[in-house]
Amino acid sequence: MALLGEWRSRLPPDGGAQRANDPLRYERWADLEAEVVEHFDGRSSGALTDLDRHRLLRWINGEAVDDIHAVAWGLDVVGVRSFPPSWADSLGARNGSYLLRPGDPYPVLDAAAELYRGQTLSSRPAALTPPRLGELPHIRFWEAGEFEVTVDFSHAGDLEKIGRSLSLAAAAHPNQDKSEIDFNNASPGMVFPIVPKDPREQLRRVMRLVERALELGAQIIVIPELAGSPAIAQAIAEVLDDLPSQRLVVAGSYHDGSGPTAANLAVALTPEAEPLYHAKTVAFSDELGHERPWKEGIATHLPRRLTIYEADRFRFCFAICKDFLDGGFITAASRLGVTILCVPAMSEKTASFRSRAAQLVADAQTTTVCANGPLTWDGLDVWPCALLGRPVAGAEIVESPAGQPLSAPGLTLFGLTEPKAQVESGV
Amino acid sequence: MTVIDAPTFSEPSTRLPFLELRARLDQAITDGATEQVDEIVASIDDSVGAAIAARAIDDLAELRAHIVRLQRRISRLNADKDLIERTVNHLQSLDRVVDSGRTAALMLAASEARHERVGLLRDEILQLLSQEPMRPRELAERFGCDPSQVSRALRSLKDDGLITQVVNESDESSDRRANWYAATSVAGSSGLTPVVELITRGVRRVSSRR
Repeated sequence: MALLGEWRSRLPPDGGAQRANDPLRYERWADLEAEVVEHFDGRSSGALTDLDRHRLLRWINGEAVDDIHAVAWGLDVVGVRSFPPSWADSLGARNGSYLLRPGDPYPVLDAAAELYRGQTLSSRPAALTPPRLGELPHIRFWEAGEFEVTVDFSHAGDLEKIGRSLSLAAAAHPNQDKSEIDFNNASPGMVFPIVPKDPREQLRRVMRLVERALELGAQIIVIPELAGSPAIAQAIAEVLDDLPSQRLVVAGSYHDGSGPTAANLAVALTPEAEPLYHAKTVAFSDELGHERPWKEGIATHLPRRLTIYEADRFRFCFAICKDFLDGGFITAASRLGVTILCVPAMSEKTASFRSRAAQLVADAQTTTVCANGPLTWDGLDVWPCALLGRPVAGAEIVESPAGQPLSAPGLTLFGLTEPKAQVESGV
Repeated sequence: MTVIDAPTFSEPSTRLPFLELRARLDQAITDGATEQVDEIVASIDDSVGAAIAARAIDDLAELRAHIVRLQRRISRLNADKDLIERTVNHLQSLDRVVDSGRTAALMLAASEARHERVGLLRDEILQLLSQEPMRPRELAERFGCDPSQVSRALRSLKDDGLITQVVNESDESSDRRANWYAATSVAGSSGLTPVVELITRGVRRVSSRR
């Protein structure tokens, strides 16, 4: 990192573009980079020996920016696997969290390769959002933007296994029609809180769906936006606590008015761990099809807040419906190298979800699991009601089957390497 | 596009099922049975050691999940505080061991993958250079790989005499100083001059001036 800082401080105005067009300079740079990789290859830790230090000094002995850059680049290539734990330790946040500040370096990894073994990937690790001026293949620098990003390391042990073993994801659909939802309008032009009309029935349906998905072996289960409640989250947590294996259940979201500000809160659960939360950052306005605009009565903060749950080389993140359609969110998620994104949604139109998932596949090899509900709005089917985005050639976006209507309570099941989704109605 | 290799699976685990192990540990701590607690933690220790030795990354991830779950659970038990603290500390240090063991396994696996990739690249590059001369940067861009992998593959091909450095004399717009590479079998064809020959010519020119 010190080398990188050194190089960045001497970076020429063109950021190395001149080198790219100068074949001899390029080759000299590439040869030194290869020498560095070869020297450090086959190591099982990032610890340096005296010989390493001697070599490093020899390589960068001088003012040549290219040399320093080649060494930093080579160290990046050869040491990338040790970056995530080193990063947590260097921030002093091994079991805690850290608020990214502008200029902070952070690693990005090519975790998709581990999720899609044996598959032809449509985006290469090198296609992770391209490095900007002064960055390396696996090191980015955080820039001030519309998002305030917290990196949470406290669930690394819980989530890593889910990332590693992910092979089946499920979208749960507890509600058939919009009429099962109560769109309260406490004040004119505003709906809050939106809740299922029959909370007991909702709990019963959600629990049946979750238990069935767990029985089928789904490692990630997503329940749609506003289909959850604190009681549902509690009931799911109790089921998970007695599971021997790691699972992640995004227990939908609910309108929460208990805090100082109203929120649309998604809760994600893993066995015997504190829940993970995401507060929706983009409220809906007039999507309900009423004659005059209706607003979701939740508070949205500026800067917007996003939490990335880091689990070694897997990076989990949550978005609720309109968050996922927001360009700023997609840019931030791809810059951050989000590996697994879970999206609970509640919308009558879901076509634009595809392009967002495809963009994340191309830019960051992100696996997206989206669950939308209810299944029908004013009697019309919403399609797709669930989708999976994955960087696999031939089927980057897998949608709930169009010709196979699903009735609630039901599940859409995505085998991570399967080209088509399966549905199970009337669970 | 990249094809990822099929997974390698470690030996089947002979560990005690997690829920059974968790119940035993709960009971032993509640009963204040220190020896039994140590025995159970030692069994986890053994599993960690075996997984590290086997470089079983999946097993290590699973063990790590179990260890963090046990830490949290034990912390909440209403039992001998010293015993709880000691057990939690032991599990925390095991978590560290798992973490570094997993990182080591991943680094070694990545190194092996790089070597394997260079082997595959060699064939692909040779095939390409049999059709036209190319420069290293173009090759790295074509294959979307790190420049060091192309450098390694080119050096290996050159050492085996399968490729040679050439100057593309027929291309006036090209940078003559740059290293072009071509398969040895086609390097002598029109427009390509092996670098060795150019150097020899230069030496001759210098000699004739004397």
